[in-house]
Amino acid sequence: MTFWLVQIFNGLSFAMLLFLLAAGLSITYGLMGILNLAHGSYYLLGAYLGLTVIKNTNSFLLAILCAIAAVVVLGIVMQRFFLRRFYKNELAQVLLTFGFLFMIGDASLWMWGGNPQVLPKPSVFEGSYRFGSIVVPSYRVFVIGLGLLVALGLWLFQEKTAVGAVIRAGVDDEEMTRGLGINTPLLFTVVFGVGAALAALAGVIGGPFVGVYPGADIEILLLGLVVVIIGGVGSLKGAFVGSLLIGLLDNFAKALFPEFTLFTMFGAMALVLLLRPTGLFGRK
Amino acid sequence: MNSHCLVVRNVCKNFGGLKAINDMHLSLEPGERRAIIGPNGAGKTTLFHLISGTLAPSSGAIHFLGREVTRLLPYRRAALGLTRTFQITNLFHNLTLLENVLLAVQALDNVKYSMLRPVSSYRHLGRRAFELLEEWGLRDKAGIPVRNLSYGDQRQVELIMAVAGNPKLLLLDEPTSGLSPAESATVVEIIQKLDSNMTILFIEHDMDVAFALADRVSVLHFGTLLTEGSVKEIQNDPRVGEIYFGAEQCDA
Amino acid sequence: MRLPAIAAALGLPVVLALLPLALSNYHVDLVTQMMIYAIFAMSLDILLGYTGLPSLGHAASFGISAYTVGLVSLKVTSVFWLVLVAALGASVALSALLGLLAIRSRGVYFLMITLALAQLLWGIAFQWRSLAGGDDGLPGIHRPNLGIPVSFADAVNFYYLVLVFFVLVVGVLSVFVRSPFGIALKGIRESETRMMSLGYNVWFYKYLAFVIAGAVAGVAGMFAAYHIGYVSPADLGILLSAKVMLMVILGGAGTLIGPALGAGIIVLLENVISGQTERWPFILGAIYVSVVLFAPQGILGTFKAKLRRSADR
Repeated sequence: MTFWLVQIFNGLSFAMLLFLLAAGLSITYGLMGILNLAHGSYYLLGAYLGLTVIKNTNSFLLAILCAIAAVVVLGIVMQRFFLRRFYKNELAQVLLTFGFLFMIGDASLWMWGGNPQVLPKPSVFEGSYRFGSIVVPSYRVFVIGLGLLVALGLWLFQEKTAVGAVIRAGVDDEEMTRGLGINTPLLFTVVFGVGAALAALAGVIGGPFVGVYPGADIEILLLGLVVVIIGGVGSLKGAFVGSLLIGLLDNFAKALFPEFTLFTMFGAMALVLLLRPTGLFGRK
Repeated sequence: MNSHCLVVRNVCKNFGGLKAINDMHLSLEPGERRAIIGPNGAGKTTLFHLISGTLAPSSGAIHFLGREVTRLLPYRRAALGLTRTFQITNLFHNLTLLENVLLAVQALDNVKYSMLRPVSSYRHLGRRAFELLEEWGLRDKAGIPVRNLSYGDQRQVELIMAVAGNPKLLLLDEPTSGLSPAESATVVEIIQKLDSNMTILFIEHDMDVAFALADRVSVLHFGTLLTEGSVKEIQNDPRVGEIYFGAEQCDA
Repeated sequence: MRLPAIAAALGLPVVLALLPLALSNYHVDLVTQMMIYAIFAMSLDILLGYTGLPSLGHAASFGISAYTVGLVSLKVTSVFWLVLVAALGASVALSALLGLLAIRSRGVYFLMITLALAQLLWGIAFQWRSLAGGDDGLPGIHRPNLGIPVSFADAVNFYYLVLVFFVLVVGVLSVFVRSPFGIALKGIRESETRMMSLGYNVWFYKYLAFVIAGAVAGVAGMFAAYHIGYVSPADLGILLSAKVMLMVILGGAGTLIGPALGAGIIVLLENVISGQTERWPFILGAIYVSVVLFAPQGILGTFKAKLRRSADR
């Protein structure tokens, strides 16, 4: 029993990371038709930048803020000057964002070296909590809490604000959105920036338990794609449910049949694409 | 049943809750020229899609030359002799005029699966392609990519592609769409010169063209057949004028 | 056919045949690698450039052939002809299966499903230690045994073996893309609905194109395994699928020779630059970005467009 609870817990914390990543990826494609394969690079860069800030200032909070700020700037530059021109041209986007992925990945390798690194946890979360018979690291509780908070915030924004309504409408039918006279270019840039910020946040808070290493960008990107496809493109709810599924699946698979984790992930993705291409909650 | 070229019987098409086509009836004699007219949204293009096979009906049956084709895919109907043109020019834009016509010419030929001989080695294909281009006065433009042709020429190529295989039934979707009066007149002439054994069903917004080309006219409104008759009967039918909310075709 | 094209068609094999006389073994090896990836790139061009099917999983057909070479030649037989049949059989069988699943999709969904299916295979190879060697892969693959007293461990001999297949592939594919089937693929790329209404069974054409592209990729994968003597999950992965896609776009999608050229350039650059600096991935990334921004029609595509424009004047 304890085993299962611990696994669920670990799976949930990983799921929150995936959600932060997938939310941006999904909404970006659903709203703007941009398939950004460099999204994983935002995660990687966020983690590395966070690492450097923590090493120099010992402040986890500052690390988060700096990482987000830097990555958001990078993301906005990428979107405004490069990606915007290739709306709905997926082939161009694949090659372009792959290019950025390589460039950022190699630059990171050059700056931080090839050894896997782990971010230090904030001291306040170094202990663990007891729930009955199970002991869980308090950091993981923090991650889950933060993830849920962000998910709630995003959901409230999408459901309760005017801008959120525009985004939902835009995912459903972007021509109509343009026709409503909303400043679409600004909206797109802001949404893209928020997506990048979330990915960077994921990188920093994932740093302490997933670590950061060359190749983490592609690994997390692939998982993010699996989540987005299964959850449904353009759907926040889909990203959340998908993240839970994949986060838990990944964890349980690793614990129970470690030789089949990758097969399971991509098999699920392929299955969804074949049977229900729009995913669980994507637009029809 | 067997003497008709095309029979559309009790055909309905629903999109979710919307009844786009409701209990449609249509029957064409071989060699007949039938115009389909009706205001926007009447379902004319949907009907075309049902007849050509791009869409499958929700209910009802379609028979072509005595055969049931209700659910046959478009390429199977083409093999039986049913072809169409498209209202928005649907050509192979980056290919040359010759390549476009060649594709139309080889479409019903067994050699179309041949992989190890260049298409130029099949002389009969090239001959037929150039024949067609010659007939339509476009031979000297054979090497030009279709996207560089004038709009008027492109509309002609639409027609060439559809008649290349000597179809028994030709569906023309607004053949004069976007053309100037002079160009429309040319197209009308060309259509009138087509094989008189060929049955032609066409959608037209231009009443002059419709009445000039048609033997009979079917009028669609809200997805059903409002009325049907000879050109004179339709011209004199006051209901037809009403559904267009205006006096536009009183000039016809 | 135009004179420059004929001259190139006859001249190139001759030049390639004479090349080893002028080059060191290292360079002969390099050109061998260029030819192998040229075959791979041309196979993707059939799918991407001619049929308009953007596959992000083409490495699957390449990799399965490479793995088959590894498994068969390490555990069963080193006789070239048997390994050839097995490897090509594997890539044909795989693409026949994957094609059934993938061909119903179009556009970005096709990108995603081909990616997912290839990653599925990658995941299997990565985690199946006992059969496929897991992430260590299968090392120690010997050069083929053709049953003749010629050692293909020798760089020049292997070069000529690859050259024969390269010329064969270029020859066959050149006719293929000009055949009735080939131009039908171009028609499908331009307008599937038009092709359907003309009388073509579009699904079947796409499916056959997928299988044929997979078979040719299998030829490349086979020689790649022999060339390096080692196969790993990377031979099935997304990085390779993206790289071969870049080769096609760089050279010019839909020109057949363009992608071969693009492959040669990328292989050459990779070898030369990796020898000078560790920053090859960064430069490769910059190439990806540059091609999309500045030369989306690729080298040959841009060249052909310029020719046409000057002819129109």
